[in-house]
Amino acid sequence: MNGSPLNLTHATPPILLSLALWGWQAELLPWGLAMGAILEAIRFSKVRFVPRDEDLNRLWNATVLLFIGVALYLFLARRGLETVGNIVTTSSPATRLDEMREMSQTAVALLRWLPFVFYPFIVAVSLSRTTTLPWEVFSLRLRARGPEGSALRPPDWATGQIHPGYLYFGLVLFASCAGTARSKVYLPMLLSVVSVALWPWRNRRYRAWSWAGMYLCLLMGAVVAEYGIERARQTLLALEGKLMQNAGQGDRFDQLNGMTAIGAVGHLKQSGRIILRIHTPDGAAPGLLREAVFNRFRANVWGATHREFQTVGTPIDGHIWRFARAQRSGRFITIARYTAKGEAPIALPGDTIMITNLPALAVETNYLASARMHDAPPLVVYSVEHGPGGGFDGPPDADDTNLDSLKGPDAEVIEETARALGLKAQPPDHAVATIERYFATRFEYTRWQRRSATQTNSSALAAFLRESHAGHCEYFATATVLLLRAAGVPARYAVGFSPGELRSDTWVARARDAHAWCLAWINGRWQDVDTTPGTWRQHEANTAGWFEAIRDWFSDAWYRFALWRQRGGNWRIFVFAAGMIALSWLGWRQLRGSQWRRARERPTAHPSRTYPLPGLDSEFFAVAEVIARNHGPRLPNETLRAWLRRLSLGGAPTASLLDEALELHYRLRFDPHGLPESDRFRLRDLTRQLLAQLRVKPTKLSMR
Amino acid sequence: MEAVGDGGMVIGLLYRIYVGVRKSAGWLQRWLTPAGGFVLGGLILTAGISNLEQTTSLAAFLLLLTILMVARLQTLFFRVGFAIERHAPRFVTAGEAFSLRVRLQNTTDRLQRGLEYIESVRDPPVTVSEFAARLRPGRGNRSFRIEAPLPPIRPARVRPVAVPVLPPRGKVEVRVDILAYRRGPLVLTGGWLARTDPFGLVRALRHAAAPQTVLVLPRRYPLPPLSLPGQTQYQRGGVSLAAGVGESEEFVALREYRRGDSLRRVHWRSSARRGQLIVKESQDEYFVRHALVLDTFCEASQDALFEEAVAVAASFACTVPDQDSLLDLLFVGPTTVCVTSGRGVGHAQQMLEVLAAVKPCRESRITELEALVLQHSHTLSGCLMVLLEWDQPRRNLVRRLRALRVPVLVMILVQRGKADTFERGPAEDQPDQLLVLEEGRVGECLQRLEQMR
Repeated sequence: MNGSPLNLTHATPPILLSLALWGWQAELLPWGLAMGAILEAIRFSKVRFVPRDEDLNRLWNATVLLFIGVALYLFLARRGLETVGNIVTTSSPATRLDEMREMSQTAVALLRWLPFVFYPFIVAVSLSRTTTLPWEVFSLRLRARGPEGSALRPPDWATGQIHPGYLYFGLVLFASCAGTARSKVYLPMLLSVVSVALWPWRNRRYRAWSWAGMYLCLLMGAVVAEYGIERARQTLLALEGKLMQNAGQGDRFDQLNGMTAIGAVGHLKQSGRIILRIHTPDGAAPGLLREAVFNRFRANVWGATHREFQTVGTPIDGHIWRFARAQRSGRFITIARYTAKGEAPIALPGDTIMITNLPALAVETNYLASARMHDAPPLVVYSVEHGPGGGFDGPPDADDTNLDSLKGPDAEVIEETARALGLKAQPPDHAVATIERYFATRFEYTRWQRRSATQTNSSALAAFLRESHAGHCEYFATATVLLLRAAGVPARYAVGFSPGELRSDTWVARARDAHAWCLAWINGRWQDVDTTPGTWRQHEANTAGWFEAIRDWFSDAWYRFALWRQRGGNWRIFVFAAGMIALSWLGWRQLRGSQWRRARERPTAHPSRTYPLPGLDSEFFAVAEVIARNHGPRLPNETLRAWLRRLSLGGAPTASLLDEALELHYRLRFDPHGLPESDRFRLRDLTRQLLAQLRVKPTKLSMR
Repeated sequence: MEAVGDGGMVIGLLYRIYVGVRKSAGWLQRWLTPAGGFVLGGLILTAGISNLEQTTSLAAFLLLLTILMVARLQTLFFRVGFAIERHAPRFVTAGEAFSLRVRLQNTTDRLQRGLEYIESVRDPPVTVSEFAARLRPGRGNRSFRIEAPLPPIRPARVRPVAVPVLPPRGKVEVRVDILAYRRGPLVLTGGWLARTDPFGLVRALRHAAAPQTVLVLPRRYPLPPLSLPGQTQYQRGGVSLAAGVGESEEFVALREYRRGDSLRRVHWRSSARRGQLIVKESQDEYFVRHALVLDTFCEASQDALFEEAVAVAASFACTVPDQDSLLDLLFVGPTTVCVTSGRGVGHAQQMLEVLAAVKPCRESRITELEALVLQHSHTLSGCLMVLLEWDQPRRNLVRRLRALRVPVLVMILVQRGKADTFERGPAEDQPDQLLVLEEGRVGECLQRLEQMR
């Protein structure tokens, strides 16, 4: 054929090369070479099987099951459930993107293993006489549709066939993309492998040098592009990072900038996801647990002027992190929480003395007494000892009384309110009491902000203090901090949790229990001042949906599982073993033929199949069985006569007996009038003689 | 565009998308070789990996993109002039591949080699209702049970063929294989001469028009030797249709016109002479005449069954007229239709042509079908009915025919797996013979006709 090759069922892709490339990229080069060598060896071997359509279907089913098993294992092993849960439940785009990246890494890991997963299939297909496979093998839907009415099967070119070799070749190259090795020769090597695969498809109109010219052009382009690609990759990564940054920080707690919802209109949305699980020895409420403290308010955003975090140092006895030099009080609370990639803020009471059993490699704190951990396991359970003299907040400085960052309506309303309450003339404790009374008597808690409140020619804070007199905790805490500062009392803004729900013996802090309050410097120490009306907790609890119980059940189950895993449960082996057993069972059923399918296919009231076929009780079958045992089995689609003729069983008397018996056997089986009783006796007699001869001497007989 | 009822706008939009995708897929199949399709698949896969930190997918993506672009560039400089001359059959069968010979003439002075020829075909257009049927298959899918999907609307497949060396101004002949899945007219609009790039990924195409139509007939099943019920019936006035067969039409006498006489039989000369209408009387004709009634009333969910019913009707249309009898094909489409063949009147081919164009009727106008059948009943020796349901109106029709002593053979199409649970109904509604044809096993079920003799 002069033109381009249109029928390439016998073309073979360079699987060895592709597996070598994949092995090199995935750092599994010996594996890749060995797998490729086996496939190449099969090409040169003459051993071939003739699989039926059902065999190929089952083989593919088993492969898909294997793929699902591997995917499931990777999904579970890489905390997939938790990741998916976070993607669904989080309200933070940043966290969602982060979790999606985690999922993408799982997918890449799966991709890297694809050549292993599909290897049994390609080996089996290589060992068969089949070169191309119909789509039905790969699609349950097409298989379910079954044959169409036409008696004629459409030709292969019309139905479409898949070359499994090229399919596997493509898959291996695709998997090689998941390699981490960034070598400058990857692209030229990939091009070379692809070119070798495309060689049989070339247009023979062109001479080989023309093809080679095109290849060389591409090769040079690939070498040059390698540099550009790295730059493009960096640009894309930077763009992605920027997008992430713009997406906001959400509930990945930022201890340097506290974005508030002040000024937002509509409902304040908080989820019921459990963040902390707290156990107190006497069952008492754990109080306020702070995660971050801020001291600078500007344009509805709280920030920290002391941004530096410093490590607490080496833990005592490997697990005790001491924060204050106070006497030990013996009051402990135990807190459990998940970390994000080993990092998390540490929720602590304001009077923390020390933390024990925190399995992190590093703990850091800053001047404002925010604490965080690094390199911790996915779930941490730590105990906090707290009591009088505890706490590690830095003493007040100029920033804690600074109102200079307030501009326009915010500054005016704080000044106006402070004047109205007469705060400047009051001592700190009286000022705190005045502010508490002011908010308790004239303000109410709401999760809803009307649009009109922010459309006036003032700020959200001004609208809160002047008009609406209603808001959520951030309004109250911010206003309190600023009013105290106006009164000359150093004050800071703290955020964290106020757990208020006891479930059996554990207090839980949900996302909606996140809270903001004020820290005021009174009598030489920082004191928590929470001016948010006490009804806030009831308001928040009312937002719980009907599905919260279900989510809690799953959350508790996952927590127990994570705890067990953390404490050394060898869950991976457990999951792997269970998965392997299940897959083996399913695979065995696929390869052996499934019982349920057979049961479903069994006809119930089909009249044509209820009649037994005549002649199945023929004695000649016993003779055939003995011959098969002694001289080899009958081939599929081979008639009895052809089989016996092929065996050329020698010995005239036996051959004549065989001939006669076979005639009678055929008549018994296929003559519509059946076999007369006398002939049936004759068949039995002949069979008896033949069996006697064949069992005694398995000699070669001849058929006439 | 046809009206599609509720949600018509959405379906209309989806239909446009479907048509667009179908056109694009056809274009891609023409434009890309299988190897090119493979490279394109790789391109899409590598583009799908967004993890740039852990993968080298960007490099692979750019490489594959460059290969395709370079291949495409090479196809821009393809210049060839050619003309085609085609020898195609007039009729082909749905679902069966057929071949046609195409003679290609090089109209340039340049030798051409390494080319491919792709026949350009246009299927009967997919209607909105056909498309909508696949989206909203109707009553069958209103429960939570998953019903068997309707067969896809598959376009005709054309096999690209390699062209031998085409000398300057010379001619070569190639054999093109085509498989049409849908019955109806298949337009062969022309042909594409293609040249692939050196890597064999992308085709450069040049088109030459040569419109021609091939009629795709319904597929047919082999039928066992038939012995249809009934005896010869008096055919009033003989068969002006059946001139040369049996007891041929022979002039007997003249008589006065009686109401109901066909104007064709008026003897104008005698009428002029007598001043009143005189008609020719011919010898009475007795012969066997069967009706083949095709049920066209079905929901969209039964479209697959309807296709089977047409195939069954086509099988009888081919077989019965060979048996020295007449066959009337009766069905209701936009109008009521009666086509007769056999005994030299018409040819089975005509009936197949009609069946190639028959469409399902979404409104149940069974009364019209009943009127049509009863109108012909006095001439019928027997009636073959291919039905899609066995409900009361259809049973009433059978009962009426039996009351008129017309033997009836009813064949009912049922969906896959529902033959065993088929309700035959009360005994008084039973036709003389009832055969249940299960979808997917119709050919096998039809073989039982032999046992029913």
